[in-house]
Amino acid sequence: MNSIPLLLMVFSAIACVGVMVAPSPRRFSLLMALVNVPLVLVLLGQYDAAAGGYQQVVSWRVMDLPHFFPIHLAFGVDGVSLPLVLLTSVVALAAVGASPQQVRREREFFLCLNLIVCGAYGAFLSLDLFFLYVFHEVALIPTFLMIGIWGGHDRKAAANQMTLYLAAGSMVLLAGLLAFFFALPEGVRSLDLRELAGGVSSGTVARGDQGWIFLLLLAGFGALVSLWPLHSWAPRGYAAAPAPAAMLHAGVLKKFGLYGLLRLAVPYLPEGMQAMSQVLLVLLLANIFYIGWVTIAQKDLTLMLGYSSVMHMGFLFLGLVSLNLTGLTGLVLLMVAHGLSAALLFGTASEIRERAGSTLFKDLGGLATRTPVLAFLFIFGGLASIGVPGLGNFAGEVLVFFGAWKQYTPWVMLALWGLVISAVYMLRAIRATCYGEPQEPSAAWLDLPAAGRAWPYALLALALLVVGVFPGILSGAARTTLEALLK
Amino acid sequence: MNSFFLMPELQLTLWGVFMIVVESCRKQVTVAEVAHMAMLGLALVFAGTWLLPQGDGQVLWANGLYAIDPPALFFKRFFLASAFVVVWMSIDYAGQLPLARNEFVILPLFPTAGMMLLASAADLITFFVALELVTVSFYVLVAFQRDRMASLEAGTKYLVVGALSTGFLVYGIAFLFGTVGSTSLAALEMHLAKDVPTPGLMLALALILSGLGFKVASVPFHVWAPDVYEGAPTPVSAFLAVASKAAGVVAIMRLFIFNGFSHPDVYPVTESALALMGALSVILGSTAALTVRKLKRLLGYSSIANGGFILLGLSCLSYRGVEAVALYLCVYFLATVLAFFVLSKLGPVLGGEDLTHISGLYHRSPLAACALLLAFVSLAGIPPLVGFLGKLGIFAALWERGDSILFGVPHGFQYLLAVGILGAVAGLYYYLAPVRYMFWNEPMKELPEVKFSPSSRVLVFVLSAALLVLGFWPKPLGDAANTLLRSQVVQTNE
Repeated sequence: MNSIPLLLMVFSAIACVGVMVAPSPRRFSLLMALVNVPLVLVLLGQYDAAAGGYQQVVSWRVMDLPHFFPIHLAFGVDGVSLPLVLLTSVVALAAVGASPQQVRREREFFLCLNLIVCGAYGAFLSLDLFFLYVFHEVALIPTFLMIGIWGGHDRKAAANQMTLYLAAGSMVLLAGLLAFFFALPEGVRSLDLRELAGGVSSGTVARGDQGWIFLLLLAGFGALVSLWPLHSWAPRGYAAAPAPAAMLHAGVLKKFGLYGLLRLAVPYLPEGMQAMSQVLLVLLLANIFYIGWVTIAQKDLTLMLGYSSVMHMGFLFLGLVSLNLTGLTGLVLLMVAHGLSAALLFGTASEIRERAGSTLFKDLGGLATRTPVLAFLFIFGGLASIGVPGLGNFAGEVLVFFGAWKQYTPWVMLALWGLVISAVYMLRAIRATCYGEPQEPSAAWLDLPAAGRAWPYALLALALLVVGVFPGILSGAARTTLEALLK
Repeated sequence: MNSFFLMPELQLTLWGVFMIVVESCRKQVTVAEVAHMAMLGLALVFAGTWLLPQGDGQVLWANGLYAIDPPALFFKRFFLASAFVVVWMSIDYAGQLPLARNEFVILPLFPTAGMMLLASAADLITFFVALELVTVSFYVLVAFQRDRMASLEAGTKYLVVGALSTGFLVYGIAFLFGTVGSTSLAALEMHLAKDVPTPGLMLALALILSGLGFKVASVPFHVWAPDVYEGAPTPVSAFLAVASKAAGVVAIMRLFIFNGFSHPDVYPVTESALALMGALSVILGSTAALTVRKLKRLLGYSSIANGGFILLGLSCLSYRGVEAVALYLCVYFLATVLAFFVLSKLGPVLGGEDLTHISGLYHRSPLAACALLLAFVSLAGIPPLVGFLGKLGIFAALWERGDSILFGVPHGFQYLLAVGILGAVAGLYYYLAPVRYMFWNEPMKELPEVKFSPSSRVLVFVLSAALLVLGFWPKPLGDAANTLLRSQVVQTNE
């Protein structure tokens, strides 16, 4: 039972239960989130990258019906899930740290927050497709509740829309998973990722079936990742969500869809992916260009950030469609980096909203002179997200473009213009919020360090820097696993 | 002679009669005392089911009228558990009744005995007697609140439609007897093994299925359900929704799935009939529920849709389908009972069970709101709650039969699957509407807090925890469903 994944699950479950009795829910959640970070670092250290495969596995069989799905409650990590678990632990700590000091119904607020974290860990650590799906939903339901109860402007409509989109998306995903399961021949039919890795190869699912199964999975997972045209829940939802929920969803949970495609479509449906690559390329370019232009037109900071996070999903899908080691390594790096930068941006934007009482660009300005630390961290996140070298996103994007270049040269040449678009809107946003004259000259605003709230964002910024400068930490761990997925 | 007293139905009936006598002799008994006696009786009988033959085969008692086999045991325990919970939730509810409070917690023992007998019916006579015992007891229970117009109206509707369905059933049994020359299921099987089914037999099949369709509240025999669920006392609605439906299911299983109408010529008819009833129930239940604003009525339509899912699972005529149905019944039981229980608490305090009445409930009574949240999310089939498992099982069973012909249509089961998925998506909308009201709206006006007695708090916690924990650790459910199927031969049409 010497398994850190199991420990992580136990701790995050304890966090959910304990928060209902702990004297200070906020401090208790912080403690539990803090404990997980060194655990994940130890896990990263213990992971034998050269050997690859699932490590530190624990497994119980929880369903024994002869004709039902055999279900295993199994946890473990491999090179692909490890970076995402690391991302989860860092963003979770930052999100708890960034949660408000005073909040209505504090216990329930932190219960929801801890449930999201628990679900995210579960989704990335589970080795059974059943629980992969289940834990993702564990994280989704409290997200809806958080937006609906503690959300800001327009919370009811936003939560409603997000619930319907994501629940319907999950339903399509379920159909896709069923299709995949029954497309496998009788002997190797399994939901267990370990058994799938052992018994199923790229040609096991009939060539004719791969395409439509991939499309089903793409529609299901795509709705969760806000792939165009299933994206419209995202900007509204993030704009209305309380900061920690937005950080966790945009930062961590949204990666689940890509993770699922990487786990299932890449190794088992590669021919379907090849056959449908044109469809995916058109959709991802729509993400980059259509949403990019929509982002430029935004007049509200949080909506703009929401759209920009949707737009960047285009680059992630480009990494997926490349189907080679370079592109997929880029995808893994970019998932982590985008998660960190999105969390940083949503967190700092909420700090700005708290101080300015508005997120409309016309009401903002002069942040750099009033609250230099906040402005610095916001700009840091903004620059990371547009791919400034030295920060995580750059490392990921470069690999994604290199990976996709060979097979999809014209598409990549188009997609590169997306970098220009994102530079345009992000620099405009930075100018509008940080520079220029403050709207109300007299107000003395509390900067982050004075409010004792600088560290969560500094942590995210530091993580972005580490990923940007030493991407090898993650890509090294992922390499063997990705090679196995591509085999 | 020994076996006679082992019959749980007899034990339960005797216990019920004994309680009525004692209750009428003693003046100073409270509802809670009577209810605890009833619960004790149910628990003892539940434990007593382990004294029955537990083997895989079928043991026949009472000259072949009464069968004990794994499905009988599974369903007997299911009915006893439902009755136990129903009596539990009746304690507080009966306290508000003006008349005959104590009888209200004793009476559920009698339909339970009927349903248990139904689970063991190996002969159409037993079958009919058992079904009538159930229905007649329910006539009384549904109309129990004589001073309330809605309850009386519900009772009348249930009586009229129930009598009609009984007519169908008897008519069907008569045709069957005319063709086969016996009422025993074993004789029916032997007859079908030798002879081709005649039109008379097919007519009997159709008539019997119609009679049972009423029990399961499936389209086109569903009309009574929303009105009766709304008007009946809430614990009785829960009992109807869970146990009465399961009684219909076990009857269908005995007659059409395990043995009974087992002939290659009959399978396509059974399959199509069940599929049609199931699909129509899912469609009608889901669409009608979309606009309903009264919660008990909503659960009425939801029970039609859920009955539809169950029939879809049965229509697969496969092991996977029957397993899925067993799971589905268990998870449906947990969620439905919890929902009705909380509603029975809320109704009197909030002055109604409309969506607007539960507006902002979370801010006033977090326990009630969270319990309802779990129940509705489970009914909607959203993981991690255990309801997901039920829907998943049904979908998987339909998918597996995807390539077969249904109604002469190739890939007919894929259309059924599409209906099921659309029904589930509609469910997301109408099950989550109360959740939106409870959590996202502010309370309409100041109302007293909803108080839960310690014992009802325990029940809420147990049911909620079961919904949650079984979602992650479904092993006990799987084992229970496994006992149902053990050694049973499912007629497959493949």
